Amino acid sequence: MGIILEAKNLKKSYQMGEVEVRALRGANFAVEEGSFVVILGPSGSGKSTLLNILGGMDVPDSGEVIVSGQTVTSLSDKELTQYRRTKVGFVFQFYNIMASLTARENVELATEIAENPLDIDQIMEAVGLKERTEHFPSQMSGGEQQRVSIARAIAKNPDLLLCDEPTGALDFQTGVTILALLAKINKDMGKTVIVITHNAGIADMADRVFRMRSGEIVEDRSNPTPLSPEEITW
Amino acid sequence: MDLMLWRMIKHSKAQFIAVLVVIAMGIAMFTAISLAGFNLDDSKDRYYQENGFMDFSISVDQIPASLIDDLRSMPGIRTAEGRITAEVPFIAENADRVNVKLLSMPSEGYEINQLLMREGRSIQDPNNEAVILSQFADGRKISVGDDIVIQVNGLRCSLRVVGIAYSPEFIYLIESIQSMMPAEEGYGVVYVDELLAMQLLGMYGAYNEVFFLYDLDHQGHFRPGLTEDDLIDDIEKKAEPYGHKASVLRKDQLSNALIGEEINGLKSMGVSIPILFLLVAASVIAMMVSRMVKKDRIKIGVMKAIGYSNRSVLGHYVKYALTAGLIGGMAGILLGYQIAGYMTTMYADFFEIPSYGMKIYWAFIVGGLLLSCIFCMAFGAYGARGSLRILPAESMQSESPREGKRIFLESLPFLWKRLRFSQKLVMKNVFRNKKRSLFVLMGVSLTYGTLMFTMTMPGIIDEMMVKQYEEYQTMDYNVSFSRPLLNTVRRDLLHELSDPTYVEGRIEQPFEFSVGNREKTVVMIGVASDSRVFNLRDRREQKIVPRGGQVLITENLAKALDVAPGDRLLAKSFLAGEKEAYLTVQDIVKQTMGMNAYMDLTDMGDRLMEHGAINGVYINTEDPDVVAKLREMENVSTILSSQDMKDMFSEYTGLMSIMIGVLVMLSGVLGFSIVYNATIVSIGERKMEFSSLRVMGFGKDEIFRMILSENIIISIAGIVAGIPMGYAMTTYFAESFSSDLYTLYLTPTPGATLRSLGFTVAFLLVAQFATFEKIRKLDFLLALKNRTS
Repeated sequence: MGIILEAKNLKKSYQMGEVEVRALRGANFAVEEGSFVVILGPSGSGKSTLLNILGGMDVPDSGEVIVSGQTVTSLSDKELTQYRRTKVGFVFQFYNIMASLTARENVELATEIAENPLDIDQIMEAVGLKERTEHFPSQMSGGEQQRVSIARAIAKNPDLLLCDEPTGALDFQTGVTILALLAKINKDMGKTVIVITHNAGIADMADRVFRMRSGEIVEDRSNPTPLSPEEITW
Repeated sequence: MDLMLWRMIKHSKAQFIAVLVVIAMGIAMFTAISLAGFNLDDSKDRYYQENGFMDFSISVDQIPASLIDDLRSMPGIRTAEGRITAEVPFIAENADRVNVKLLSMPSEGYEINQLLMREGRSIQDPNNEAVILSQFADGRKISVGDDIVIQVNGLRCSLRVVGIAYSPEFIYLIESIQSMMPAEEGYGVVYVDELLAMQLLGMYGAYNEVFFLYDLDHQGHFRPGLTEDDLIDDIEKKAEPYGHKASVLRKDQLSNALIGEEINGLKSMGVSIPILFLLVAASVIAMMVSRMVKKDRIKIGVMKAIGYSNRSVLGHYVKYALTAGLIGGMAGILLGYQIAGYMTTMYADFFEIPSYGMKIYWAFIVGGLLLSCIFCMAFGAYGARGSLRILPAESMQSESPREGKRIFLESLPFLWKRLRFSQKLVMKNVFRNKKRSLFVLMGVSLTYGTLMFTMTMPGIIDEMMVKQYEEYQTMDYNVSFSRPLLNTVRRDLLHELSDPTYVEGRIEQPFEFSVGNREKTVVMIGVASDSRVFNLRDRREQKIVPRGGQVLITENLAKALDVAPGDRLLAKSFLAGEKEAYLTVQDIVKQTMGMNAYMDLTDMGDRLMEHGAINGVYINTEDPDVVAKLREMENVSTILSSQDMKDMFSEYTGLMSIMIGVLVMLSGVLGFSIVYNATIVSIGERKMEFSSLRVMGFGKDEIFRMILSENIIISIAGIVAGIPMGYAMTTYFAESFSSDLYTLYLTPTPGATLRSLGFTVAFLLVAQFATFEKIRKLDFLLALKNRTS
């Protein structure tokens, strides 16, 4: 399998009031295509900043991000929009789905702008929401809302799925089902999945784990025998 | 808390300023118009009082000077004075002729309608000196020391101008109500000594007008047991044998009535428009505060958790609204005070009322500020009411998604299925926040309606002039004779004037019409049955001619007398020895200027004058010297030219365009403020949603287009709703402006509708593009961090 994503010496600082925060201090890593990656780190370790840069939502002060041979860090604002539209799908901790749209419409929102979208009905079935397509978010549980969020992310048929604490707002049982869904998408659809979390338990299901501390990758570990989501615990 | 308040203002500065501008404009208008109106009223009243403006007057054929003493001694009369008046031609140096009113001035002191000398002095040499009215002097560029020529009974008389003066009687100087607007050079007033006037007009020891000042107490009341009606009856009885023609109360005196209407119009405008502005500003504040409360949910929870009461939390947001009310109100008052000064000076100059300085009415200053604060506080509290429901514990937890609902369009599958997804999304967003959509819709309606009304305004005078002088009356000249003549005089006129000339006899005579206890004095016109210059139209715009024994009356007269076709009314002539007759109302006719009744010419002569008599003619001619020829003719007293009146109108269109410009700007500010603020609040509320869309790969322009589409749909609905609003405003204006003097038939034209559409779209687009910056600066990384969408 080839390299789908490569980060080279990423550095990023930002101002927080009068204090300069060095969020990334030269992060280097590479992700193989079709792998399930967990970026692990405590709060303030720079993992969210890293995800934002990988997703084309933020730019580093220095360093490069190359995705499928394209240098993301040198793209213009317009090109970054196109990158987010075609190459990456996002799953947020708090779902961020539209309250005024049904589950199906939330997914349709993504397919509207995608170049090569997947079939909505198939996706809804894949995420286990076949019977809930016409429900509004207010009529769904947290887990179901996160499924809608995942369906919306993969409907664009992206190369990369970036997930920011996808189980952070869910109870353990629901969290496991969401992780199982992400694993299924990784395996069945061959999508590269990157999950950032502070939850060390999730690392056991990853093919590869990057541990972050103070803006640096302090550990790069391959996991030859990843556990199934149902086997992990936290 | 105060620090937080300051930060709140700082963070919402663009919106806060937009609201301040609307409040300031509303209060400025309230202060300016009200102060100007009341100051103008004060100046006018003081001017009237200091110069003894008449309480009542009568016109007669001739009344002996000795009878004036008798009238003066009547109970309830403080003083009475006689005057000689005549309409005579004024001959300019270039032989141009216009009408002037020649008035006598007593050689000794007088009390009623005293002149206020602007330049020069009073008459000392009774033989050849004159004082002329200020407006006419300016219009004709006549200075003290100049000689002027008038023609009286065919004789030219040269007079030396020794003084230029203002008169409370001619603040608004117009030749007749049909002239509608003052024309300084077209009509004037010349005062000569009483003896000279008597000589010139052959009225030795007699007058044809008598003026009265009432004997009133400090409260302006007659002594007990005396009423104005009884007094007038007594005066009219005494004047009857001397050819009593007309009685005029102070309130009906032409200049006073016209200026009174202007001032009243100003005063009523000073309340209605500002209230509209304040309502808009206060609604925007309610919307902004409501959004702030939602945004500050956690902050409010924390405040309550540490012990702040509901009242202090609510008070915090109400203070924000109050600050806007206070700052906007004070700015408005300062601005309004300045404008009031300019307005009062402008109006006083225009009407040539002496300026008595600007009086501050504290009631309006304090009232304006109170009005602004109360509106803002009430709407601010309404917007902040959501803060009362926030519980500390709940506020710390993530907010559950808002309830999603299907919109009514979804129940119309044939329509819904035809929409593309992006269109469905826009429709859903339009219906998502119904209150705000409705607010924007109403704002657009208001803007469009106001603009439509504004754009229709130029049509007001045009409509009146065109209808009156091109549709209802098509004569070039209306010539009055100094005494009734036989209709055969038309042949002499035709002989004098070169072809092609058309002359039609007419009678125009004031009559008192009465039905029960309602009475009204108006000019009745006798129209030839085959008239080629009168096109009387009924209310369905069908041509109508007066039939024998019947009378056609204008809509405003029908309203004043409360009569309908088929009713009978009594017409009583003011001329001594003339008859009175009961006439049946044949129908009601349309007329834009004045209040009149119409009869068949022959029938009117037979019933109310002499058989075959006329007292004037209507002329259509291409003879270039018609006016000069008519002036030379015996028995011709006044000549009114339709063209002169049309020319006067075009001079006033410039003034009108300034007023329209101001109104267009005000409408624009309203429209801008509503759409800008509503969009900014909407963007604030949907920040998370837009951030999520950006993360998903939506471009800024796509999000902007989405908001634009939503606003376009609401705006289209607003414009559609604005059409009836514009019509309603125009109709309301037409009805409130219609009086004894004018009747407006005003409906917005397609041109006005289109122009207002253009302006509305332009204002809305400016507001819309002003919001693009907010979308451009949207921090979409927040979407990853926040808990709500």
